[in-house]
Amino acid sequence: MSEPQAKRKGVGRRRFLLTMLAGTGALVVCGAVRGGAEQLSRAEPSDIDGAFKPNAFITITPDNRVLFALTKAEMGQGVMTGMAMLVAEELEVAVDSIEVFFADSLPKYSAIDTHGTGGSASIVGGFVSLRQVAAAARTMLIAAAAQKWGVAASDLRAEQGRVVEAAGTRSAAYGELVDLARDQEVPQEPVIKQREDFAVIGKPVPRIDSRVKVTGTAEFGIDLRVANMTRAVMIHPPRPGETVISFDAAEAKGMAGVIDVVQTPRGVGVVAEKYWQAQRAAASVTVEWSTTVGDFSTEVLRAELEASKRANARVVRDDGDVDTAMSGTVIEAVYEAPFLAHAPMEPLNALAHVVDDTCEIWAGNQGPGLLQEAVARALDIKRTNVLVHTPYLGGSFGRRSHPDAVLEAAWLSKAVGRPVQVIWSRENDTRAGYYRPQCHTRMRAALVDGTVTAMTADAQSQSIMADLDMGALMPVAIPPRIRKWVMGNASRLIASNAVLADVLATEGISNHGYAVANQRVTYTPFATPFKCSWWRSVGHSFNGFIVESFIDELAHMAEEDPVAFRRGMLAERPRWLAVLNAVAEMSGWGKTELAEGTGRGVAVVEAFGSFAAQVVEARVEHGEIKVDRVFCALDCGIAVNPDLVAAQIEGSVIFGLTAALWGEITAQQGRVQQGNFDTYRMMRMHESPEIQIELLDGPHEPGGVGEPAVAPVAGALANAVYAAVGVRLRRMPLQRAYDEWSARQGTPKA
Amino acid sequence: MKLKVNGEDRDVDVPADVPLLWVLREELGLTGTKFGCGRALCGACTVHVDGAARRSCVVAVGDVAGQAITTIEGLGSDEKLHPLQAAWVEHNVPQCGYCQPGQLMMAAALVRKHPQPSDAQIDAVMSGSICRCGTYPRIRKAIHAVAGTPTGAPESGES
Amino acid sequence: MAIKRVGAIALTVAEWIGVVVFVLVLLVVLVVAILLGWVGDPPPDLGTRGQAAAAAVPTVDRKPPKPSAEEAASLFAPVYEVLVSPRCMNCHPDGDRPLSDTGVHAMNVSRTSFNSGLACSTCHAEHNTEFPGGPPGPPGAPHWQLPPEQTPMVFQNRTVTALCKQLRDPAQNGERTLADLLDHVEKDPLVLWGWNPGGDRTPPPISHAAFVTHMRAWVDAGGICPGEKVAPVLGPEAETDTDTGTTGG
Repeated sequence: MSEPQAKRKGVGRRRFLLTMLAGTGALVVCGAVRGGAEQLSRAEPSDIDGAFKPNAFITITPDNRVLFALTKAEMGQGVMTGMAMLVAEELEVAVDSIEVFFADSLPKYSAIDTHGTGGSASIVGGFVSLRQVAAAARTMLIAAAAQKWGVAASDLRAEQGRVVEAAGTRSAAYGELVDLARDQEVPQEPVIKQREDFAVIGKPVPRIDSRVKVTGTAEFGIDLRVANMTRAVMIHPPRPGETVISFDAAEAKGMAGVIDVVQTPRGVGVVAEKYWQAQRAAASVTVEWSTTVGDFSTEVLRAELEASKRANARVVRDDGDVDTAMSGTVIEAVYEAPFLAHAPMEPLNALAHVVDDTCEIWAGNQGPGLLQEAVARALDIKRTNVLVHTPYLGGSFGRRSHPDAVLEAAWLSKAVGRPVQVIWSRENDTRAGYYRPQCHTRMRAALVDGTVTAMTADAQSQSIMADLDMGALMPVAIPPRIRKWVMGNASRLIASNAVLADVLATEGISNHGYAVANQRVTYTPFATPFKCSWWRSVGHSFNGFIVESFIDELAHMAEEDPVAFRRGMLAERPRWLAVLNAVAEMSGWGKTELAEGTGRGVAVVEAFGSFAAQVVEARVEHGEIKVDRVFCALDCGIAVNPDLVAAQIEGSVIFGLTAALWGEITAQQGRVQQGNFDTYRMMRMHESPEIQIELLDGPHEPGGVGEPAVAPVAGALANAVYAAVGVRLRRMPLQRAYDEWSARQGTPKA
Repeated sequence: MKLKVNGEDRDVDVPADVPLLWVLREELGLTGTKFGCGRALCGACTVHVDGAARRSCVVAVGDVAGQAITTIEGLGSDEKLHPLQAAWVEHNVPQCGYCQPGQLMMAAALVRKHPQPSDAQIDAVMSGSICRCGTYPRIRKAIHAVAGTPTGAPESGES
Repeated sequence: MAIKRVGAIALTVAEWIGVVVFVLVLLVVLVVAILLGWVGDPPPDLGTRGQAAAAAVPTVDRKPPKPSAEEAASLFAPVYEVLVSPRCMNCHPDGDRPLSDTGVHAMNVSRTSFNSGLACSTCHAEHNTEFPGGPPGPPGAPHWQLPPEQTPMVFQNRTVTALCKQLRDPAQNGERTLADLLDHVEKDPLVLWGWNPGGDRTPPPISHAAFVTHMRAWVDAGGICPGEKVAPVLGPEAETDTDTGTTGG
């Protein structure tokens, strides 16, 4: 293994700080401020006497243990392995020798980022900063050995957990150097490796969390136990927005194991010693609900969006002169997407223990700071008095960034004076809101001699950002009331669509890669009784479908091959072109014939800093859309672990197909019509297509991996269905759109 | 009530109509068996009763008193993984991992019947178990990988 | 160590600068917005009027073939009406896959599943699953299963005549006599479950007592089928019906 190369240009402590100050970095700083009250804390695995701790993240013990505090949620995306690889790369230790533990919500861990997980940004954000953290430790260990042996640090190198003298035979295990290392200067600009020296990054290292996950010993939130704990079942309002007027729990309170039945702002909680006792008791509780939003219907919403004059529209992008250019053959199409629930396999749950003015929380989450802020406000205690422990997440996809189940546990614990674990039923989980927004987007384009000369998009969707409370992102030094006021107004500003705008709503539609001289994109937000949320790939989850379907329609209108048509419009976009060409090649596009009745559809997107192109092969059998094969080419820059990247693509394709084919949350008279997996359908083994993947190895730094490959699936599938049976499906879920089309044709299924 | 779980005799004091899932998780502390839907729709809670796969969320504990119950904790151990567990690790199958105990118990029931299952047999058995992360292609690969290795040995506690 | 301390202080200072910048930016934006009167109320909730039903399309055509006048008037007709009701037909499908009330059974289950480690009893107990306070679980009754593969006793897609002949044929019904059949429908707990299915499941169109009465009348008449003047001799010695009357599907 060669000596680490000289420092990367422009990377160092200064960049560290600058990164923190810029953009989302400002949030980081706020979380990191150490002013004000002491943070409530507990002993952590890294509290080991005599250990060397160059920073909050790395601990090296005298007996050669290496501990790494993971500040990201491991929700399946493999970040635990990916980040351990980054540490191993610079610290020169074996990946599987690193003991990774989940960091508590302590300020010291906010030094390199927000301690939140999302936006496919963990590896992107940690690629330099986390390696610097590890490199600092390595540098100090080498300096310690240099001091011990009286040689120059440049004559030493680190390998396999030891510092080794290049020329001589001396070497020392890291554990032997911890006392000396502690006194070495912390490097201001830790030197990290150049790409050609990577020994770990880029290798298909096995996941380090597999063993605990196959033996059933991995602890998810729902598995956690603390002394004297109780379990609770929540009775949620049958319609979103409703609150409890009164309830009768006389019978429930007399039932075995029941401790109390408690009214909360989010419904009635039944607290018992055991979950099954709480479940029995909950059935006998009757609740009278307010009926403020009784008649919400998603079908009515669709009609209103179709008829909307979009008075509140905001121009997001306006290139050239659309109004003049929109002539010749003008094509117009409306695309729709429904609300969607995340449906992680582990239903939402949270364990909270309130003691006096403190609250300790154990719950899978995507942002401990968000939970701290929410709980502090709900209980009127200091944010620093809220401590969050993060276990493994049994899936999340955005859902566990919201504090609802955690708040319920905190309120109930405060009421009963014992730790309370709230466990949602699957029905609770499906119906509790924070959905992917429903949307309605009208696309128009002008074609002149097969060239798109003008294109407009008028997007309407519920704003995710207007539904969020970002108070957690403000420093704890600012009084809670001001935090709430500022952020409340920020949300109103976003909802007003004037000063601030929800940029997520049009991501992928305002910045697609296609060259069109005259373009305009408008966005109109709306509100409903539902709250909306990030949902794996966020705005791309519907905009990928919309843009890629529409481009396909234009290609067919221009009587051109969909891949060739896209190539023409992406001539100036090398990374888009590369993935498009790769997927065309691997799928045999235009070369190999498919069976009669099977069609190919293509889509290409940029999302989260990566480029993904897919070809779907689909057919319709007895009225059911079937997907046979999916090809995906992804350029995510450096793939830190190619096999885990492949796993994310496989998962993204199946996640995206599930939503594209069947996913919808609908409401009638305010009630969510889906509840469990019989009504909210998931793709299963026999429906899962063959998936072929190619990763493009480029010179670029890592892009996101967990979400980009979700974005093209629905569009590619809709395009494949069109190729197969000539029916253009412009509404998700596609199976429903197809069913409605068949019903209109009067052709019975089967 | 007397239960026989992973070869051990266990005493629990619960009504007969409590779901086996919650008895395993809350009375016996065997949290490897997961709650996913409560209605036998997802397979996360799959265990073996006298060697046959059962969804423990819809099994009344009173119906299986005295029968040999095997949970994921009894399928293999960290020291000696079941061949399927080893294949799961080898093929990087788990993502979030929540459904995998149920997937493994189901796959174990499959390979006992058919040590070299066909794709159709895998589809026929594994389609009862949902994985939201989309690990199906790797589950299939891992099951094929153990084909032919001895996996049909009696489970602990089975007579 | 001194440098380390200085570094730490510098870091803290930088962080505080960040805080101040962040707060100032926010405040400026807000003040401007308020001054300009742009912070209005959020848009009104949409979709809160009336309702419309989503279109529903049946996924499988389960309707039995239309009986002829002769079939409708036959002794077997009322028995047939029960056999093609969901409670009976769901487990007597045309093929290897059990049915549900709206289509085929979910989860890709089939006889292949049952032979490969996923039995009906993986999910279905000997009784309906109804835990106090829990969501409704799968239905269940003793020996919940499909007929054997060799004698699948298909009720789906069979005409009255075809099903009548199939039912009485020992080669197709698992060597049952007419008396055995009567006993099965009269006493078998799985059959009885059909009239007490629980949940929102629809029972067969006539009562169990009426069904047994019709069945007994048919058995007493020697298992006569539409188009026959006299009942044939049944049993191992008799010629078996080869016409199953399949209507395709």
